[in-house]
Amino acid sequence: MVMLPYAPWLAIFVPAIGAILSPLLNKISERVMNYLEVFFSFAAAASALSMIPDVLSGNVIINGVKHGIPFDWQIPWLLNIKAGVLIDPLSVFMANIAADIGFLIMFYSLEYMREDPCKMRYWFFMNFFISSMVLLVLSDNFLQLYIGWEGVGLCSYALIGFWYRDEKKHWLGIYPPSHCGMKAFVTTRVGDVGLLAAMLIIYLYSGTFNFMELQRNFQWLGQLTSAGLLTLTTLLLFLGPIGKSAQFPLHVWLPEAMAGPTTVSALIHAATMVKAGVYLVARVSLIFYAAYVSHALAFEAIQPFFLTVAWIGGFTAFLAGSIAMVSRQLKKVLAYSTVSQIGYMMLALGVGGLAFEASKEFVAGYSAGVFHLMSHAIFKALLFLGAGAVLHATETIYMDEMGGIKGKMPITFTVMLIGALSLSGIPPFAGFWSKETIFHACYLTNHIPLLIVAAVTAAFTFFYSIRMIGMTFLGEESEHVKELEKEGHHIRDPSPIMWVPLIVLAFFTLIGGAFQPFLQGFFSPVLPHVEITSLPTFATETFTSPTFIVTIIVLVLGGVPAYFLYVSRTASPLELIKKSTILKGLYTFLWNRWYINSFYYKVFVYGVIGLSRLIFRTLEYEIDQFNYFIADVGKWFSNVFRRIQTGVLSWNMILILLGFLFIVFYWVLG
Amino acid sequence: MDNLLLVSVILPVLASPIIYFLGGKLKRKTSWLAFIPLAVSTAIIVLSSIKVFYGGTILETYRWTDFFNFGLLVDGLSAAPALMITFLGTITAIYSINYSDYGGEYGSYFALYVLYVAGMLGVVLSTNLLQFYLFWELMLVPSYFLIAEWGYKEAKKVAFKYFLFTHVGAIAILFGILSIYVLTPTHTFTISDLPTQVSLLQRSAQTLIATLLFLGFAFKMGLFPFHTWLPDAYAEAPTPISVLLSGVMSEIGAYALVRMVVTVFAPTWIEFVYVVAGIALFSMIYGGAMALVQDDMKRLLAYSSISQMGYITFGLSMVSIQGLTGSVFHIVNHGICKGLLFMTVGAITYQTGLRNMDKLNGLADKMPVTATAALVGALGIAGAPPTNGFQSEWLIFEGGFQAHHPFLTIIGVVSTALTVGYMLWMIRKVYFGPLPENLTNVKDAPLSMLIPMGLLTVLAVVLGVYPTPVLKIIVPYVHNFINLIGGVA
Repeated sequence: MVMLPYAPWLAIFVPAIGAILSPLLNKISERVMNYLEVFFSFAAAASALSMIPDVLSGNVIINGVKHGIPFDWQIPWLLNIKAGVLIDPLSVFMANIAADIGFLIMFYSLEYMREDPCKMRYWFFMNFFISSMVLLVLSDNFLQLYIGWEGVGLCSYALIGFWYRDEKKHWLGIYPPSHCGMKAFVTTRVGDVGLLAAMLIIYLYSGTFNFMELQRNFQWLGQLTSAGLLTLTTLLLFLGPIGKSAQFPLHVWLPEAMAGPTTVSALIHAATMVKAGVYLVARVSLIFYAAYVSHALAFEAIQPFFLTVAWIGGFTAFLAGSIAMVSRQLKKVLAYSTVSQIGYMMLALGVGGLAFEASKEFVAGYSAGVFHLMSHAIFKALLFLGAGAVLHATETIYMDEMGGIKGKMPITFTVMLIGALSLSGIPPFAGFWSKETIFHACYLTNHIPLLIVAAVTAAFTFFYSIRMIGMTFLGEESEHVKELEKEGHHIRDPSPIMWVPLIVLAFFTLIGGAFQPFLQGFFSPVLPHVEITSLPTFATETFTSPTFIVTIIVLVLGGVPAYFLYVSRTASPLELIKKSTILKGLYTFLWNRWYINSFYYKVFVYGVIGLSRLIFRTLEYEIDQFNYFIADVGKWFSNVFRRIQTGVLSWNMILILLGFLFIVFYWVLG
Repeated sequence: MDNLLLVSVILPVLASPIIYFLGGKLKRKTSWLAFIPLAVSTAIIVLSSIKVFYGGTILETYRWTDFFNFGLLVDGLSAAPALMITFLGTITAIYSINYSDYGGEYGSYFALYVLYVAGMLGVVLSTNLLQFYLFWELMLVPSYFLIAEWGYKEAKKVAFKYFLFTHVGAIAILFGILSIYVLTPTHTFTISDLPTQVSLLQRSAQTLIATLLFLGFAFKMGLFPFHTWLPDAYAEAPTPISVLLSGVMSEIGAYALVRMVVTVFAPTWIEFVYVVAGIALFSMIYGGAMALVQDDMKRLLAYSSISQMGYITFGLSMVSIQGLTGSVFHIVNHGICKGLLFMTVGAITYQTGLRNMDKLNGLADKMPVTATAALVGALGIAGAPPTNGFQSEWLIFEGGFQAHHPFLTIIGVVSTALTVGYMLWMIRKVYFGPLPENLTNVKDAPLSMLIPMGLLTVLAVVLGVYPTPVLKIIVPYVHNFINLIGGVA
């Protein structure tokens, strides 16, 4: 209550100050810097948490200027913006995910990054990231959101390419880290330009960037519709989330984003930044819904937007899930899985949006998306941090160079198993409940094709989760592991600084499902007619829903083959692929990421560079040559007329005489 | 003091011969002789700009002949570019201290240098067409010698090409100026009279004059297809001069375009929006594509300048408060960021003797400050927050939507992805990756280079977070103009 006017600004500025101070602190002492930087992120998390009671007691700031610290950006005749914060359930929810998980990961980093010589840069960008992410979600207007949006992109770029020296051990397959960072920035930028264009178009018609003003006065929607720009604008807007949340067709950057430290992957590329797109879709959904309810927006006008969201989400979930089944690198499995799970969230939000007529279904889809966002943030951060411990211990990124380390790393194994089961949607873990609500929303809104896509993806998910656990922890020790042991490098669980955050996250993964009623209550101020179900009702509803049968079927379909291949190892996947040409073809297709990545490189990288080079050699060269051609013509011209200047006196005299005669004749005869 | 502005322009000119004669004795310290008068000019322009910020304008008029007066004017339009010129000119003088030994000819270099800066300042402050043209020449001639004497490779040839090309542009401008004098009823050279005088002319005459002037300035800015001199000149000029060529002089073309074409021939300008916007968009994409395939850092930055001039021209072609404000602001921002980038290249060349990107790698380890500065500059050019480039770029594009050209604008917005591409490519090539063995002994640049770079880096971020001071200078001027023509508000 007391904290509210200041808490959001503290959550934004405290980590930013931490980032700015890091060079100074580094000068004082490295230890001081490490602990203080973690403390700054702790302060951000505390500020974010302090907003929850306020929101629960209905204290919502929709006009940041009045309550918060006014920050004047207004310029007469040009801009009508005041920097402000929007405190509503959605934004506080997102801020907490960013700041709280951010703090846990910062704490974990104390140990994980202990031996890295460039800690100052690490702390700078991590704290800068938390600040930008909180700014992104708490902004009350598009422009400020965009600044946060690009800020997190910048941090992502800098942290993916953290090991910019490109030593061979940090390469991700064929790509050096600096390449990966650049790929991420450029690819997401393609999406960002769409978002920028869309928000500028909205500003043109509404005269404001402010979300609440957009949600209060709907004239701009009418004008956009009559100008025939509504669909274009909304699709351009969605390009931003497609880029940032790594959805098809801009999903290619996220697997390469794994080149950075694992903590970075956990925080930025699993728990928070990649959810920014989901947040934005959730944010504009509220605006569109409010417009629909007040009859300012026809459902047909907004339908293309939500159809695109739902189908892009569904397709991405399928696409990425299928690729994750063949990946060799532990972190890449998790990366594709992230892409796939974000696809689920988009799908849920899209399905919800397609059910504007019925508020119950809209709420079902919407809250399913948000719920899954939360549970995924927790269990995927857990999986990544666990993977970080494994990577540290085994000194390899390839799963086939691990194996048999279950007994050596019992804590890591247990928490990773919890994470993997949650990811696969096994009760009672958080992922089960949130995934069930998504399936249920598809069923409620009668989107059976989307439900099928989602269900098939769930089978993939279970398959690659078992495969990941099996290849990493179970079975025989690999040659690599044996060699490490021989060299006296014992594989064991990490120190408490690393496993305490793991246990915390595992605990929340375990009980995360119980948050559902709480979340419903939390979101009730922004969503219409939320019926808050009690926990037992929610559980009974989930288990009696027809989609639960679907879930059981797909879990069997995905789980049984994975069990035989990777746990009991009664069949070898390599043998199977060798035997069957169909399987082999499928494997190659998936291994090459549906050929999308190589296609992009051919067209958008080498294609553009090749074309530019061609133009450089032809057009540019010819234009320049034309200059020299003009010069040559000038030279030729002078050379011709220079001959007249012979310098011979008799010639000159004769010509003078001839000229004189000519004039005389002209006079006399003319 | 009623003639401060005159001091700001004349002081460097008067200092020039003194610098020349003392250069032999003072050697490297000569640069301080150049620094002092330029710093005084900067102070004067800052003071004047503060007055403009609070809603005033400063006009000094001097009688020249019975014919006409000449004058110096700081208003909402000229203040920001004038600040840029003096500030960048001053800190580049510091940057020049250690950059080279200039073949021992310190006197000639710095004497020409201050003349060059004074010429640019004079152009921006001129109130009279003839005076404008004189200063225009005052900036061209010294720059020719600076490139020819202290440039790289085929400097003489390149400088000659530069001089010829910009002179073709200058002649077009001269024709334009003379046509204005001959055709207008009161035979005027005074810029402030032009809008009313020109509107009395026939449309065809207006179009002709506007085209001549546009051509002249397009040559200066290096818009496609008048750009072929530019990569040569920017790349082969000594790097401090490249800083000014790209960071300031290109922008003077843009400034003059606003002052003498957009605001004077507004109806014609709006009529030809598709032609101008087309040239602008094409320059944007073409410059970006060419920058993508360069292996010489300075050439890459030169092509990037072409692309950025495209942005500015695009904003100008979209006549609206946002578009024009964005463009004038981008004049400042591009100057800061591109000047900064050229300085980082100079620092690398100073330390390694190289500027070919294929031979450079992993310098972030050895030159961390330079690397940080280059990253900020690159993000500024790419228009990413929290740098100043973002603030002007989104205004330019918002202007495009305000002027109701959504599709043209979307093309422009999309082409910024290309900018990110070539900028990050350069950063990655030069600063990241493994360090080659021959570069293991490289150190960061000397303080005389780091300080100017640091100042620009800080400025780029500060204006990115808080652009209000500059915008408040520009906006009232643009608002008045838009009101006057009753255009898009």
